[in-house]
Amino acid sequence: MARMKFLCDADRCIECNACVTACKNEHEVPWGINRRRVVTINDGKPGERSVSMACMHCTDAPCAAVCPVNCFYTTADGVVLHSKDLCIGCGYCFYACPFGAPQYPKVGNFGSRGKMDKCTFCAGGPEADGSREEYEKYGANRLAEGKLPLCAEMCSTKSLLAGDGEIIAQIYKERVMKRGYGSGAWGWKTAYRETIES
Amino acid sequence: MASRDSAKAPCRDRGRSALLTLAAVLIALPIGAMAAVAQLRGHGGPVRALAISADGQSAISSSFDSTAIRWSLTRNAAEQVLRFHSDAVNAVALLGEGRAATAGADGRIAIWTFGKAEPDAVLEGHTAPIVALTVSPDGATLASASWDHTVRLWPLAGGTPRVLDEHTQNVNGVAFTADGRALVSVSYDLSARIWPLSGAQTPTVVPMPTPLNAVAAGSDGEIAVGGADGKVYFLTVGGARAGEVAAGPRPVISIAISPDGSMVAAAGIGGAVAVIDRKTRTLARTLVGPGLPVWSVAFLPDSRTLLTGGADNIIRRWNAATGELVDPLLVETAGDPLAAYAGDRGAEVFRACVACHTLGADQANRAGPTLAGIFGRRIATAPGYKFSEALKRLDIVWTPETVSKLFEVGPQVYTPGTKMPEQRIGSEQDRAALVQFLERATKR
Repeated sequence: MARMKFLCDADRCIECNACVTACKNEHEVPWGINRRRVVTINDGKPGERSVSMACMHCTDAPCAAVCPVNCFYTTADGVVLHSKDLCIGCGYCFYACPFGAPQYPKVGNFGSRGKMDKCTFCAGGPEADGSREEYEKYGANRLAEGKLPLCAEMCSTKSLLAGDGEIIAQIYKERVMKRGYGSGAWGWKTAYRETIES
Repeated sequence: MASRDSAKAPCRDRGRSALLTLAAVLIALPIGAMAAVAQLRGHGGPVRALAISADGQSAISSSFDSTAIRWSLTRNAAEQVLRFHSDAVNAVALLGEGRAATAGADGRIAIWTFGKAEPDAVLEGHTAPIVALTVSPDGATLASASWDHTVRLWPLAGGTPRVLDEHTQNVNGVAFTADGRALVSVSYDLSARIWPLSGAQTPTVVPMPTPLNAVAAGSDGEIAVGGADGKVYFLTVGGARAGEVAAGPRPVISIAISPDGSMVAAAGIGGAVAVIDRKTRTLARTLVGPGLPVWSVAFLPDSRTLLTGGADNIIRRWNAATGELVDPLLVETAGDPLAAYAGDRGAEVFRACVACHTLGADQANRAGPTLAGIFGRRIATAPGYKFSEALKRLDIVWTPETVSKLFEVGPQVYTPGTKMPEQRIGSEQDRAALVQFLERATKR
């Protein structure tokens, strides 16, 4: 079974935000929530770098460690998902995530807490694959259709890679062999506790 | 802002309030809370915040269980349970002169005089959970950080709060500099902002490489911030980076600087607390607890003793200079309350309920009432729990059928007005397994 991972090659990101737009459109993500965002470091200065950030579907996911209701689970593909039926919107996973992934919808009244929302690696949720209920809660389940996450598929510079961790690591190694290490595979070590050796 | 005149209530009323409060403590706390050990038990949920009095004699803690508790650190006992918030209490601050502030996920700040059962004043304005509080060195201003992306500065003498609204994401921490001339806020938006409190109002923005969860300011002006990347970053009051130390592999969620400035304690979700030598910028030692997230840390005035509170609901006392627990008897592994039900599908379904509910007659209420003896009981009648008025008006008796219905349609539909978070169980088999489990596990 493949171990699905994201890889953001910061040397290639041109801050076009196509990944952000593709994600919002594919999953009909509500206003005010961005499952993916592009962050630019040293904007306008030497050393400027942009990275596309979302849930990295970490190995030994820290969000799961703090959840008081155990709403997180990891699929056989290594994708970290959560049940919105169980989530109580406490927000503890906010603190735990190094990637700023959990989103917390603003709700009208304090009495009705919003459920956490985050990137699903286009893999839906606990409901039946491709069901209407799954789509309404989590968005499209492209993985069940044999497709990869749309954010990476849309990336014009192939800065953002998604797929079997071994394959995307190999692609990245080949780039590093030709151009040098550069600014690195952003977030890879934090998420997966390993480095990509060139 | 509500009136604060009630702070001047006659002594007779205060005495009556104190008696009522003591009675409430005796009813609400498990017996272990009153035992004279260095371990402070009483909360029914993760301990989210801690503050210690200037004389080191008392502390206040707050919890996911929607309460705050005032503790005597000399008697190691709870002295008052503060019940007001309708949701988790995320932040506390001691205001001096026997007063404190608590703030919660309900977006409200309560100002308390110890001994009184109700808050003197309630500060409202935030539109999302409040997650941090701090009071200015002169005691005149309370600062609050909120997930509505703002910081508010509340004059404690009354008046309109000043709103600092430049962060673009949740604000997770806030601290005054020691001289009281600036305020530091840290956010999920990968920045720390240093706000001058007089003169020019434009903050210094310090870009950071990670979401920030916590901040503390030292007496010499240096600022320490804790990141989701497991590092502690040091900043000058001017916003320049002044070093960093890896506290551990997991995100830092709480941070404190010892009063003498020698140490920084950084607690993380991995369950360990890193003690950092500020002078050498090195990790001096790691305090290893039961392995559950540590949500709060605070030093006593002696700069050696550290209190920690976490997801095991217990406040522990450590010698930060040696890394040892003050009372070694406190070394215990957080037990799995469902270990006896291994392999039971209903127990696995119930795991999502454990944060708020206990099962046995000898177990206390948490954020929700104990479920001991639930079947056959009318809704909102479990003893010792403060139910909402909306629930008291409902005509429901808990049976296997009504419990199953609750989770089929969800609490907001079945029990309108409940404080219970919305949770549903879509699978009919899982609902049946849960009910069967509860029938076995909640018999008195």
